[in-house]
Amino acid sequence: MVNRKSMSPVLSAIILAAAIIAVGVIVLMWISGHSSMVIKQSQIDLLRSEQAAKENLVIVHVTYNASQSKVIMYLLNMGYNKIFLGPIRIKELRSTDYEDIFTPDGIWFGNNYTVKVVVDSTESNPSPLTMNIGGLSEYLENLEIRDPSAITDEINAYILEPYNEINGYYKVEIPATLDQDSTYSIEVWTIVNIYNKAYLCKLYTAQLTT
Amino acid sequence: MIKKTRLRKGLAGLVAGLIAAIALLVIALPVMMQYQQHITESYHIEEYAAILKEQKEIEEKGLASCYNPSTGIISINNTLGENVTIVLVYASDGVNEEVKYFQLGTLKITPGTNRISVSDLGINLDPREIKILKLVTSRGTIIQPPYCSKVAIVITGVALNMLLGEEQAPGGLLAATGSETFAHGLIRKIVNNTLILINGTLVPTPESTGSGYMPLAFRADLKIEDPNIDLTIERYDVGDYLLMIINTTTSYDYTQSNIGCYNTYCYTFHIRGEHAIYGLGYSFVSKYDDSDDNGPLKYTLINNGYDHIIIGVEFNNPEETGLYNGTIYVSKVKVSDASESDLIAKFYVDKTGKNINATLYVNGNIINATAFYRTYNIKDPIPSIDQFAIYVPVEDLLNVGFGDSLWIKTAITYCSSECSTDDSEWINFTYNPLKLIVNEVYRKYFGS
Repeated sequence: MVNRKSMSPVLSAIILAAAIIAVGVIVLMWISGHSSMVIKQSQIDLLRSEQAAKENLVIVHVTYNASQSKVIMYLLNMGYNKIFLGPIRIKELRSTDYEDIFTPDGIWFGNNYTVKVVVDSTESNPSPLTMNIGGLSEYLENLEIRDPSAITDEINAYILEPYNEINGYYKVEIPATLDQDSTYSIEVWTIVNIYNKAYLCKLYTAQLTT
Repeated sequence: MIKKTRLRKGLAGLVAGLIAAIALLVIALPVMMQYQQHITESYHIEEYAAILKEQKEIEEKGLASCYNPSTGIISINNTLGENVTIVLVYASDGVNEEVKYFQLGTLKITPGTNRISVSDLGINLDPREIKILKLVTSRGTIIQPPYCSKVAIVITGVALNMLLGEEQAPGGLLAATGSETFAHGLIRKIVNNTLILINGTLVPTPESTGSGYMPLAFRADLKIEDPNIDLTIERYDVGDYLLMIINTTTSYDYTQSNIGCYNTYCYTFHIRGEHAIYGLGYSFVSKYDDSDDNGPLKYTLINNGYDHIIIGVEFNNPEETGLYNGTIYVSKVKVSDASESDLIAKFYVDKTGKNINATLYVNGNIINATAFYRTYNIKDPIPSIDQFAIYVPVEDLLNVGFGDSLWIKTAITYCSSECSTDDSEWINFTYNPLKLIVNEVYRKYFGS
């Protein structure tokens, strides 16, 4: 007959606690690793989405209608279903029709504009979406924001659907009075939506000479 | 008995610990699966963007086009071997504009040469007044046809506007007494007995003028006895490319003449009298219109050369005084900020100070450039310049090869009492060096 030594309840509790702590530590380390992976993946997503938006959004033409005092831009989305049209700014028109986007003292701004969907020569106005601004520093550096704490929380954007889904194109009108014989740079920004946070990426700078 | 109970409790505790661990894993698993799905989707986004980019580059290389304003016909040569779908057409006469959307599949560019009338596209603008014309394919490629000088002939990938060889005229074109062939520019001559090969980039010179006293870059005034025809070609633009094989015993002139040439040596070739033209290849410089805005830039000029490209500008209403400052941007990919281009060329034409300059900037190197200009006056050439082009050795400087796509943009600032700036849109240009056909012709007539 073998004389088995009994396990004390205290030792049993210690083993149980040790097992739970060990598993917990492993899970916590895993979650921690997972979180850093998620952050890294978010940055990759941001670059990929920016690239997809750049390849898919086509600025067909930019022109200035002097009689209506409007810059008109024709846009086509070639197929990516997550293109958001964000701020548009004419750098040289800081002093006129604009709205500050981020900072109270107007470090950065966007010109007011309207978007129209043109289907069978009929124009309609899509509703803008409101998005929360994200905080990846490399994408905010581009905006020359000297005071990130002053960033407002929300920004308006328009979803641009693929041409074969809407059977048409987009017409953007920017109210502006431009001088003759001058060159203007029109920056088109997209918004990339990562985990419900909006990040701004510059898509194109179109040159317009009047 | 007490010992067994303790053992059971201990084992139960261990099992409970394991269950807790498994439960934690079960909770985390869906999160990981969702994350994995997200990674896959993200990868597909990248893949899709890369495929689209590649498809656009292929389309840009495989579609050559031009627009004839007198007939309102767009000619598109599709060498892709498959249909290309057009989804949007934009046209403007500088004041009015029209945009036409086409349902997917209703407007196709089939392989080969397609001729499309702008009126068939539903464009109601006067075809003669159309200054900007853009066609957007289903992949997002923008086709912006330059004006046609002549329908391009494409021979084994080499785009020429004109090619005449012994296949077209066996024994060559026999130019009789009274015929004349003239060429001026950065041309070179190779001679083997009575055979002469002339090739290079042409530059107009007021030493010899054509219709309307325009400075001549090239003239072929040929009296052909059989079948008794007169053939006259005159060209006045900077940047055409000429390849010519002549067989003659008639004396001719080949003399250095640097008029219109900066930082290089140019020559004039001139023959009057009987000669046989065995081969004539000609590539007209493409002129991209920018006259709609009345800025100082009228046209952007681009053409292929032997192993380089010529990029230039034509001034709108050129003034006799003042300073034209110009910048040419060349990039292998389309950049949003022109200053990030792979190569930047800067030039000025100081009409008041009677001075010109051209410089290339690439990879931190500053290179004194070769340039060409059209002047109307031999004695006082600077104030009478209205075209200026730069020789850009893209193979050496940008490491581009046959069929590669380049993005080109030009900008001019004219300053007199005030300054005004004007720039072109980005122009997609396919580099098709003419060395292939020049070398082929050389081998045929001069051996290896």
